[in-house]
Amino acid sequence: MGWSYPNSQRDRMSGRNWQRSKNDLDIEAELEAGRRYGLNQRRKFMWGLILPAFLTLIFFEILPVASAFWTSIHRARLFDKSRIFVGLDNYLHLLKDPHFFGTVLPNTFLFTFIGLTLETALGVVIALLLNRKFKGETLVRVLLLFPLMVAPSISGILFSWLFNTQFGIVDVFLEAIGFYRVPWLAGRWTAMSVIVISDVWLWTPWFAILLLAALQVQPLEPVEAARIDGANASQVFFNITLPYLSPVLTICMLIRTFDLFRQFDQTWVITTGGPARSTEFFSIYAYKEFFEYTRYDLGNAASLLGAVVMMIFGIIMYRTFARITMSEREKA
Amino acid sequence: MAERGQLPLRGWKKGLWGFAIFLVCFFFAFPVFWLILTSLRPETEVFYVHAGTSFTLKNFVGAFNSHQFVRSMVNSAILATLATTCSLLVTVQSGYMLGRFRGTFRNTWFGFIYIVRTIPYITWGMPLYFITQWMRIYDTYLGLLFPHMAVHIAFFSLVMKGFFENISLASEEAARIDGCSNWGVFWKIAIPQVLPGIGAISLICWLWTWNELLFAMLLTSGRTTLLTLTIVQFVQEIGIQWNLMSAAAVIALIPAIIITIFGQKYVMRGLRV
Repeated sequence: MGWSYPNSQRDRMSGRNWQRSKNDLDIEAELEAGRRYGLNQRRKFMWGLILPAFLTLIFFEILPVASAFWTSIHRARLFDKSRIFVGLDNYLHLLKDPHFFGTVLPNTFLFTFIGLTLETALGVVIALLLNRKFKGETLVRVLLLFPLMVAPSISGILFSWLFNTQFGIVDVFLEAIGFYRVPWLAGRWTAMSVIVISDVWLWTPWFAILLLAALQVQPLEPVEAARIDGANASQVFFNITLPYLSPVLTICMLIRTFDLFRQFDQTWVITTGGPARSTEFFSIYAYKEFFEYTRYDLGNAASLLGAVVMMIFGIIMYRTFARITMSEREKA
Repeated sequence: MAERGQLPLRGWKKGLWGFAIFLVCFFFAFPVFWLILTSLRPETEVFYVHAGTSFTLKNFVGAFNSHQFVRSMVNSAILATLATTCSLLVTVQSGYMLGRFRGTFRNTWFGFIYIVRTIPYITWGMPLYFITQWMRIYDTYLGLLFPHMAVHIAFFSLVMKGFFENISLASEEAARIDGCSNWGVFWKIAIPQVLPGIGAISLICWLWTWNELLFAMLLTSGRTTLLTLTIVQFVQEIGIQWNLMSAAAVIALIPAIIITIFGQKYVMRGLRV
């Protein structure tokens, strides 16, 4: 077995894959390379490249996850060193807990779903709006980029001030136009919507910027051909632009799902899970179980459940995504 | 004329489009504008920000004088700089491995990073509370540095992979034929070609470490307290003094403001997926 670089420039230009593009010259070069850097040396080089990253991940991510699993099958408290084996009791406790099952999990899934939908839809709309030349283009783009640089916790502060019940500008405005004041952070659904709005504010620009970048290099011939054939704007969008965007869009949505699902910072700042623990997501729940109620085992079990859900989702999505990109490539 | 495949807008459609752009700008600019305005108002007038006319810079003095503020700011800056340097050194290598090789070993590493990316922070953050204590690096720079590095490896390896895939192989092959070692090719030929990308990522990396809250909550207690945590504790302890609060938040936003204004084109490059 010789060695080869993947995706070499030549392969990409010829549009063929490596196996088929081999000719005598390539084989000779490969043999030469194989002689100089034998398989062993290549392996060594690859290990050398990833070793620091690998060790960091093992000691500071995999080891903690293993430790979390180990504590989650024991009875463990924050200030008590003893560990008593209890099997899956902690998980059963969680699944029987009406608070976890009836509030925390629905909150997490609902938040992920609504946040993702809003951010994707708004991101697509904004990217389409901005996809033309106009005065002040750069200014708008700077404005869009800015939320991405803002700390999630600061965004939490921003929105808890805007939606402050007594002095927040939103309520002042509502009163001024003849509405009544809404005690935003005092109810479950209003508080949830404030959290959603703050997340939409923070992350929609990410979608918009990446989609805009893709739109700006979109090949225009199909669009123009469709127009000449009499297609209207929505037909062009749904039949040409959206399929063209779908690879970028899918990967953006995938990454956002991971991050929405584990969202912590904004919720912690805006509601700390309140009122009456009704806006807790699973990471807030786990954190509180650990540090406020000192139930380290339950906290770990909850956070592991979340991790497992995301891992399974991630693997399923990876396969779907591989299929999408593959079919796109076949079309091209 | 039609630009970028769009038909020109006329009449009310153009008006509607302009209004939509205005709404977008308003939605994304207003919260920060409001925060800055609040931070400039004297304490007594903070409750009718929209109506008063007097302005002051006293809040910023007050924020700087508050407990541990300056110290946590310095801590955050040091940690962000340390984490950026170390993370990039490690991540560039892993990205090169992903972008340049093919085969089972590479795919396994890719899968590993992808799985690690899906694990929520809280899952491995909480056990780290004990593990860093066991390693005797709890509440030190080191104890915060490594978890942040782990986050960055998972985030940026894949972006780096994209950078390396987009540069030409020719010069690397030429150097190899001239007898350059694997590491020599990596450091002297490959790295210089992706420096702009690395620059972009380093800005984002720095800012994300500066912005991070959860690890600061889990892994510090007093000695290496970080800025986001100090400000959040502000909210929960003196939540009524919105003038001080917003001044502190504005100070925390300064790096973000600088980077957006001056590094705008640069940062865009590092944001892709």
